[in-house]
Amino acid sequence: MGKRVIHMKQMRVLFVLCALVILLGCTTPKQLQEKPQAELSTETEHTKLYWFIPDGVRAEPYLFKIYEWAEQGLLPNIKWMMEHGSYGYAMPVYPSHTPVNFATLFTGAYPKTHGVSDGPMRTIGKPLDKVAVGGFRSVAKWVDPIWVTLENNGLNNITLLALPGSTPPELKHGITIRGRWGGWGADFHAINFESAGNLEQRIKQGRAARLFFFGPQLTQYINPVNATGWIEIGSYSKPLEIAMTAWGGTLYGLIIDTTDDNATNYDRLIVSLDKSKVLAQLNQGEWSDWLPIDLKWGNQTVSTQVRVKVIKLEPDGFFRVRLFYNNLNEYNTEPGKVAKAIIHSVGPMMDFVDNFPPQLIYYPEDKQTFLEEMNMTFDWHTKTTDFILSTYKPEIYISDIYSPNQMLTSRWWMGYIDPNSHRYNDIDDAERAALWDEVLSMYKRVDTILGKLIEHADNNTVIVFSSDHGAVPLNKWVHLNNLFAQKGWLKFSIDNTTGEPIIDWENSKVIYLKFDNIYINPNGLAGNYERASGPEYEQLREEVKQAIEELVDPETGYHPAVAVVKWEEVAERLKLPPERIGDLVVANMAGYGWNEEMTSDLEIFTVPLKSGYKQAIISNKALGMWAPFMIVGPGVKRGHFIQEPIEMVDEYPTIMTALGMPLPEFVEGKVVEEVFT
Amino acid sequence: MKKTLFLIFLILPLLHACSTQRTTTLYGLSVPGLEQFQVVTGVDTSVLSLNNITIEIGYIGAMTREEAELQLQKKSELIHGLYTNMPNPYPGLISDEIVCGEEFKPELVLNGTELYIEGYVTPRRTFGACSFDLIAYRAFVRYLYCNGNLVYIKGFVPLNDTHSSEIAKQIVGATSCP
Repeated sequence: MGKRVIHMKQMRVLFVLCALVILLGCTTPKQLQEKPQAELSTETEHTKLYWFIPDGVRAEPYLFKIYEWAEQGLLPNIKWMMEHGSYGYAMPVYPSHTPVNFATLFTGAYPKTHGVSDGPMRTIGKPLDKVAVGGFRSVAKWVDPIWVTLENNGLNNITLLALPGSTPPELKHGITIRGRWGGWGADFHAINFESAGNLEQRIKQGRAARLFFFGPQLTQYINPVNATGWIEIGSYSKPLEIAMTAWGGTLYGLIIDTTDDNATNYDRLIVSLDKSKVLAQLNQGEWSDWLPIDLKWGNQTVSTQVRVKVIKLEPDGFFRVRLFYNNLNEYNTEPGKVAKAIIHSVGPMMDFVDNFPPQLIYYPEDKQTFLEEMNMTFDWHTKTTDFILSTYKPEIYISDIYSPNQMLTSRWWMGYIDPNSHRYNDIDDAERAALWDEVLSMYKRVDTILGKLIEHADNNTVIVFSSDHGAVPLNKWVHLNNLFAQKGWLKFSIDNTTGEPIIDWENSKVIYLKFDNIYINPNGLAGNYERASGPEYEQLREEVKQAIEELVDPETGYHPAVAVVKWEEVAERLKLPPERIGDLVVANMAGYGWNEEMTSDLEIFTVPLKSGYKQAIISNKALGMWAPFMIVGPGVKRGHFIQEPIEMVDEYPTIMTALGMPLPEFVEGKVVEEVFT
Repeated sequence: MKKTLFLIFLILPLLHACSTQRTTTLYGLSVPGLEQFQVVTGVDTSVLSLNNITIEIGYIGAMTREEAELQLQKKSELIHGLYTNMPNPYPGLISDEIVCGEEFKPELVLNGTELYIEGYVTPRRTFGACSFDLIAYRAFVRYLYCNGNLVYIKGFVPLNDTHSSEIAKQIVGATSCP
């Protein structure tokens, strides 16, 4: 019995010890058998890629003859690319719009596969008065863009600068700098402030100055008031004050008269954050330096910079002032410290000359402001390209600059230099030559950035120069919604105070929505959009199709529609994704542009202020939509001209082949074999 | 005998508890339940996978508590901003606003030096998609400030696998800084 007691005691001790050991085991962290990533990747040095894709660079053999300009010595770096590589022209996919073609360039697939059919996209099951998917967002793509594929293939040092479709960032290790319009991060676009005096002008601009992005209106109207609370600043007329508030920050302006001539002639703007410390004194036409300002983004305060331009300051005090905010900050760059480094070394970012809709098209002085802003933008991009390539030494560097697109679709140039424009003869040859000089100077600035890539490249670098589309003259807007209203298919009224339409969705059966979609439902368009069917629908759709096809510009006799395609045929005919388009897709003839705006006079054809366009054009016969494609690198033929234009969808597989990378299954473009030795 | 049985009953649950609560230490974080996972370790990230579950654990950097708080505020704001209705970049006269349904908005909890995000992500594991055709995974993300470092753990599970979602959520939720 006694022995048994001892045995039990021993057992208990053993159990307790076991329990302690187990408990200890449970609470001691366990290290996994880890396999270092280095063992999985190869040691070989990758071929590098420097790909420059300025937005909207037109290049074709008849008018924008960039290869001829290069041969003439105007574009030395393009000439170098011609001598050291293969080059030709590339045609955009339809629609010839920025987000669609950037997605195509970055995936080697058509819109039906990558999913980006436009900037604003509506989808089935969502209301039509809202945009369901933003085409500029990285997440809008159904398949991987090139940076994700390359990163998955072991290239970890990738930098993306200002690329549409690159944000929210998708890189795990690389650098993503301010992707355009991805809806990610703090993006403070430029804003114009103007005297509220001229109501007619205000309405004209107001229609095109709607919210551009998440923020204030592009042009804001304020009335100057008598100045109070300022430090003593001499003025020979009663000083006037304006408060320019946007993005949660206010700059005060004091409008003064510096001439002692017994007349009211205001001529200077004093700028201050607090009415005490003067930050800048500007006459008409002058820019300030970068001034410090705190702006609000969500709950965050972003300490950034702003430049002030006095576009107009008239003797009676009428003013038009532009505030250009630093486009770069740690809230739109990943990692954020890169934004700080660039701002420190290069300076605040100037990008996106003007805006969309364009604001620098209303006064003659706007043109000069545009040119100055564009040159500052090119300066920044040139220096930043140098800085990034020197500092971060990326294996893959892809960058964009928006300026060419903005210049060629603005009011001031395309309409007067392309003979296909109705405005071509509005000016004489000397004036046209001056405009060509300005356009050529823009191409030279593009060429300079290309030169930076060449400078930093080595023998194992593939350099590519291309673009997403060209641009052609815009002669007429076509107000399809006014056509539909004339037919009784669209019901709306106009708000007399704002001039904006109020749509009766319930009683409307047909509507056009940007950039090329017609939505149809015989039972009304209210609520969530669903694809209708049945004989009534088919009949209405046929009638709409016929009405668009038969539409004629009475002035020219042209039919503006070149294709009206039913949704079930778009994948085959236009390579578009049926899920993200309307019941009909309409492509327009070069020279025309579809416009959503509806008016009480129901006029269908109007003449726009801007003179260039690109969006809903089928590009194979519209040469003005073509863009350059140049490639230099190991295994690429030198001095080789690609006789037939390629499709933009072909660029990706050609570039991946040059890099020695496998092609993902979704790729639909073909390798341009003739460029390889 | 009764006492012996008592002890056995004490130990069995302990054994069970141990088998389910063993922890792995990566980047200073104690993470339970990863024994069966295959792991690939990089310079600043480890990716662990088992069946449908992918766990990423990574190191952002050494910093002060205040810097970590600022970073997490920024991350929180960036994610939140993706789901805020905003004007479309190419505004039309009619539909000029991009909207995101409530069902797509992630749960965001910011508590000083800890940020938790639960929601849908794309095939490329990016937040910001507001349409089911763009969504591939459920994501459970935690950023933690641990011994002077900002680190994170992320769990991803295919959208239709609710069982794995629960496991991933538990792993991410039970992760701690020892």
